[in-house]
Parts: sequence; structure tokens; C-alpha cells
Amino acid sequence: MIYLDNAATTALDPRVLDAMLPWLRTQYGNPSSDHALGRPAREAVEKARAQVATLINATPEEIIWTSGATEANNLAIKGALEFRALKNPHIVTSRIEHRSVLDTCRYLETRGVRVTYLKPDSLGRIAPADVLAAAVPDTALVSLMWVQNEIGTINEVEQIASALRERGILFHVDAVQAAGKIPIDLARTPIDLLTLSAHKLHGPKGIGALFVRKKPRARVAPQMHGSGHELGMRAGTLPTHQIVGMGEAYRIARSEMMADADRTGGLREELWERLQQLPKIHRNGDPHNSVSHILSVSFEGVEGESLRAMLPGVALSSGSACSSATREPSYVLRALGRDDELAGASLRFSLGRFTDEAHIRGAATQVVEAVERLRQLSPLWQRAA
Amino acid sequence: MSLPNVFGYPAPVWRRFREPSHAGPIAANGSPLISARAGTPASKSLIELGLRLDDSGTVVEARFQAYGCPTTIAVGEWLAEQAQGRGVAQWAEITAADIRGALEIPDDRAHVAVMGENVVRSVGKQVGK
Repeated sequence: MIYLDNAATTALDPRVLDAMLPWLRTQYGNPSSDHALGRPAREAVEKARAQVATLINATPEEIIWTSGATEANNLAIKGALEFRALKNPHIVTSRIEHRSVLDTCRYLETRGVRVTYLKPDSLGRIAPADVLAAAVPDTALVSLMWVQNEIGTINEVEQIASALRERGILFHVDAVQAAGKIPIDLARTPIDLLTLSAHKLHGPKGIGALFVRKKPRARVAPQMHGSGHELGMRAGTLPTHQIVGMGEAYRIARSEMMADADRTGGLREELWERLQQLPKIHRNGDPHNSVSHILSVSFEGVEGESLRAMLPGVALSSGSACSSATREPSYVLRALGRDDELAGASLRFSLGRFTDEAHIRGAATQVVEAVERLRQLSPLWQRAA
Repeated sequence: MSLPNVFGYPAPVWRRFREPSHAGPIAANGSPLISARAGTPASKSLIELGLRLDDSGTVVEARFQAYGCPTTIAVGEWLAEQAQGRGVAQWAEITAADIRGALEIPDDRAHVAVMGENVVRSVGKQVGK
């Protein structure tokens, strides 16, 4: 099996696993307990908090543990709105956000919140001018992703953050595909709330974090009530082993991020070059401003479900309707202007720390064979040729 | 090429999708040919079938081309398989229910079997059935 679905999740780095195991075996104390097993767990949690903060140049006190990015996005958006308790609040987001942002916004619409969904350009970029133009006096929050998870396009969040800070509008950024892939410096970038995940960068599933800025202070109302953990913003017993794993994954990412990016960037370009032996294929996203680990390609003349079915030996994401929970072709690619057919006949290749040249060559060979075979079978392609 | 059916297609569909033996256009060589096509506008799927007959109306060569999901391709292959060596009038009695039963096509793909029946009916009209 060739694994090229690292934007969905990544293999656990063995160093992360080693860091986690003691906290599953013998060090099982509750980090909130004040005794001989609890205190080391608390220290481990705080060490990990510092490791996560360091990667994004924040302070440890600004990191709130969550069960993952979906919860962090929910906490950021619903929590920020609830805390501000505006009468007629308005949110600005985009049509190509992750479902955990879009569905949260849609839920809030049922509660009377107005939401503006910005349209990206054909490369998946959200224009800073469009963000500012959409903001109105009632705008409580802008929520955008740093890196688009299907196509890899990097948004100009630094520019947007500065403009929003000048206007006093809270800015939430989903940085799940950015953290550990591109430099993030929150000491210089005035983002108020930032969502993080562990399992996208070789950490464990089931753990994430929300950065909540201290100065100027961003406030969110808790969405999970209990014993006042995490400065009262997120109750629940802290999973020490997962938190330690996330800390270790972020520590490794800090030291290896640039080397990983160089390597995956080279492999991605090799993959794109090999795929281009096929005519009539289209690269999605912004080739000049994208993360190094994502390549999205649409193939003319093949049907999406058959294309996916022809590739059982390659684990990757497909834009086809049958591979989505909604039974519709990728909403992201359609928002970029791809028609349903082409959006469905798209593949996202996403590389990780353990992807090597043999994987790239093998995947390229299988995809080329699959597309050629389906095109040979298609009367439409034969007539067009 | 034997690859695992990781997406859980019915075995008769998967086998024909992976290894169709009647794929491709049928060549004109002077002997009588019948061709038919049917599609589903909703999903833009398409099956084209070509049959070469001998003087007695027996199919001596059957070929198909298809654009669509794996079930569409499997239906094209199955129709061609069934036609090969058989009297075309008898073959033209195949129904959507026959196709669904043979390929174990589930409810959510029933429209593909109907598309297959439409191909058969088109042939049937041409041979006077």
C-alpha cells in the first residue's frame, strides 16, 4: 500500500510513540491530582503545552487543549460569539473552509447569526480586500483557514490579520494544515484564535488545541462545562499520553519542518512531472503559493468513482461523490470553478515525513495506467481524440 | 492484474470492472453490425455496444465501451459476455432485473441496470423484436 493521504492523517512518528508509552503504562496519574502520580503528569502536560506554543511562537498560557481540531473550531467560533453576546452578530468565512467551520456557521445561522461565505478565486485564494469589504459593524468574527486542506493554497492570513486588528475584529484561523508545515509566528501575526491538531503532523489522533491570545485578550465562552480545566475554557480530564504525543510531534516539527518541506516539495514536483505525461490534466490550487505536501489534480475524460476504484493500492483522497459523506463531488473544487464531472475526477495526493521516491514513482505509474485504461474504455474520449 | 476489492463492490461487478474481456470498439469488416447506446443524463454515464452477427443472427463478436462508475463498466462487459455466441433475438429479451440479479447490483445503482436494459431494447428494435 502506498500512503499518500497525509492531509487526512499521518502515521505516528516512532519518537512520538516512545514519548507517549510511559504515560499509558505506569504514569497513569490524573494531571489534576496533587499526589506522586498526578504531579509528574501535570509537569508532562505543561512541558507539552510549551512545546506546542514554541512552534507557533506563542506562550504556553495561550494553549488550550481540546479533543482535536473540530472541537477547537467549535470552541473558537461558538465560544467567541457566545462570550460577546452581540444582539445581531455577523461572521465572515469562506466557501472552502473545513466542514467543522462551515457546519458550525450553518448551525449558528439557525440561531439567527448572519454569515457571509466569501468566494475564493480560481486558485483557492481569499482576497484580503474581500474580507475587509464583507466586514460590517456587527461582524463579531472572521474565520478562515491558513492552508486549504484539499488544494494546499496558502491564504494571506498575516495581511488579513493586521487589517482586522486595526478594525478590532476578532480573527480565528484554522491552521491544521499549516502548523509544522510553514512557519507560524503569532508574536508578529495578530491572530486572536488559532486551531491546531496533532495527527496531521505525525502525532496521535484525539488531541488538538486552540490558541487563545492573551494580549490583547481574546475571550471564548466554554462549550464543555465541568471542573474548570484549561482556565475555565474547556473542562475534561486531560489525556496525558495524547498531550505528550502532541508536544513531541510539535517539538520534532520545529526542528525538522524546513527539511521535511524541502523533501516533500521535491517529491511533489516529481509526482506532478510524472503525471504530466497524461494530456488534459489540471493542477488545482496556487502552484506558486502552496504548502509542499499537497498536490490536487483533476483528470479530464475519466469518471471519478472508477478512477478511485482503479487505485486500490494507493491510499489517497478522491473528489468523487462516492467518497464523500454528502455524496456530492468536492465542494471545494466546485467553488474554484471546476464542473461536477471534473471535480469528481480529482485526486489529492498528500505527502508526509515517511513518503519516499518509490512511493511517488509507484503512485504515478498506477495513476497514469488507471487514467489511460479508463480513457481507452470511454467512447466519449475516443471520439474526442 | 488482481487487486483487492477494498471499496466493497459486488464480486461480479468488481471482476468485470477490473478485467473486462470485451472492451473496445468493434471493427467494421463488411459483415453485419448492430450498435446501440444508452446513457443516464443525471450521471452522464454511457454504454455503447457493438454486435457482429452471422447470417443466422448469432452474435459472433460483441464489444462494448463505457463511461461511468465501475457498475456501468461491469454492465457493459456482462451484456457483451451474454451476447457472444448467442442468438441476438434471444439475447434481446434481457431485462434490468436480469442484469441486477447477475451482477448483484444494489438499489442505489439500479439505474445502471436500467441503462443496460435500454441498450438491449435498442438492439431489439433494430432486429425487429
